[in-house]
Amino acid sequence: MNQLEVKRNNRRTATVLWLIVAAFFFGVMIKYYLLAH
Amino acid sequence: MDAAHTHSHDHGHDDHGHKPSGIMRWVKSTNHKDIGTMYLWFSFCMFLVGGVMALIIRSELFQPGLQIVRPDFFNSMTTYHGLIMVFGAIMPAFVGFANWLIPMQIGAPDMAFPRMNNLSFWLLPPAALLLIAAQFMPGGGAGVGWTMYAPLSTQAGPAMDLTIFAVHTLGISSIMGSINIITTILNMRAPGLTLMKMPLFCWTWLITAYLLVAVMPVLAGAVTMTLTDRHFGTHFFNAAGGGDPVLYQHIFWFFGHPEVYIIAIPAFGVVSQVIPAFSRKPLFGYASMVYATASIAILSFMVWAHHMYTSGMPVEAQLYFMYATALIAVPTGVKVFNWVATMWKGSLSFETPMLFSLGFLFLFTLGGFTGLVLSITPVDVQLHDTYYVVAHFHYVMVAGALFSAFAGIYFWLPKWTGKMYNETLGKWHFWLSLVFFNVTFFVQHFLGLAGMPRRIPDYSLQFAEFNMISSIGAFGFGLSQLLFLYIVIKCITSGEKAPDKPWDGADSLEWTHLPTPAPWHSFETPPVIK
Repeated sequence: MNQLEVKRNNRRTATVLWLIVAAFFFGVMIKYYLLAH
Repeated sequence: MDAAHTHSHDHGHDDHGHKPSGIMRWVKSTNHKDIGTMYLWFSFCMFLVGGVMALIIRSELFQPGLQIVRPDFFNSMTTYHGLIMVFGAIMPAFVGFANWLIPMQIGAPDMAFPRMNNLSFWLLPPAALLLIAAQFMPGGGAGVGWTMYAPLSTQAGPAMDLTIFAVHTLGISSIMGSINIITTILNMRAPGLTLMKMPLFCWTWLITAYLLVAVMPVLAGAVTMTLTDRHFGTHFFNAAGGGDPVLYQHIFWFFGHPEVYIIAIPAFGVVSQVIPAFSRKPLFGYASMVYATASIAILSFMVWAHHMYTSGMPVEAQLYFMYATALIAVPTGVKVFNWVATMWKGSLSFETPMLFSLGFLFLFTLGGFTGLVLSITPVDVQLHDTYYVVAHFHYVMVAGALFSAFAGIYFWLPKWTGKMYNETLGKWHFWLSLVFFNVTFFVQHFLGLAGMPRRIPDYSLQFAEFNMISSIGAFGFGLSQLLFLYIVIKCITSGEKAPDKPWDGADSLEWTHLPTPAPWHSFETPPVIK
């Protein structure tokens, strides 16, 4: 695996993890917004 | 991976071996070892700040009555002592270990995202300054407790805004650190180093990083909603506007309980490296250790409401949370059994890292047992918010996480500095810490059983003796840590030269494949693991 592939893999992994972070952050607020309405 | 390193070697050769110097070495550092060092020193500074706060608390509690501080300042001290110790001291200490050790233990040249690593660290000092600056806001620090429960937090003074911003900043730093750790472990292991061949420290951090990615955004969401309730007219936690303050408790503890394991699991990892090294045997039950750690992490998401038995919930829910919490004792028992079995018939020696690991093993188990006591709903209804809880979580956090951090520091100090610490002084540090820790916290079990509530600056006369003993222990424990600082500085400045492998039984890559001290750039060519 060359350096470019390692970098691409790293970016993909990080993107998936950032999406999980965003899902939890916004998910919990949206859920509570819906509960209050 | 081979090609990757040949490529970087060709083009970056001029930089190799040239350590930048001066302050900019640290400000602009993308080197995992330098960043790890900064994390460790930062956490020690925060440990001292949080420790001073603890001593202010114990000074006031030395005798019944109000004599040293005002009650609102006392509440502020309990709040920021907790926040600083959890987010500023213990977590960054283990991130420091992760930065130093993970690339070396998996045969990688550095972390996957070195610049993000730099940012992760440099977010911490401003966040710490915010927490300290909150003390000087109009009305003083926010005396809301580290849990920042609504409606207290939605009505607190302006210090609360600084605290919220600090928690956001600390959270984003942790998230970036975790993403870096997961990516590094998943994508940058040396050829042949499968996941099930990794040192257990890497496994524990991989699992911890996933926990952080899942729960840190939840805490960020909770404090964001607190912020919008305070300033932007929302009513998430305001019953008058259709919200519910108990919802805050649910969301906080959905973060808060896994947070306990975010602190404890890397500590398990350190101990799982140290005990085999000083038993001169491989870790007993490696695979079961991995599965037990993962089980603890998964279960930690399912037990949050055991912190809220007295907040009101259906009896079915109380039963569920009680049984689910007790279930955690099973994988934890597997781990304790495996550590003991590792020592069984081993060729044991008791240098300082091993002593701290054994201290961890005994006292963390004791803290686990009091956790089991507290998991039983009818018992917890009696003991909730008493000093029994304070004693319980200090056995887990101090004798668990902090002792394990000390074990790790003494274990890897030769690798980091190239020098040996003074073994006699190290043993003194251990015994003083062990004795004074128990003097401080063991008696708090009795205070709690007798009904002394936590977070109060004054108390009834019948609690006087045990409080006096606890306060004396706290000062002894605090002073013992100055000895630790002296040992580390003496090691760095005038320690004897360390051999490449000072511990016979250490078998992970940083000991077997790298010289001591570890070079500025390690594993420019990855090792091949058979």
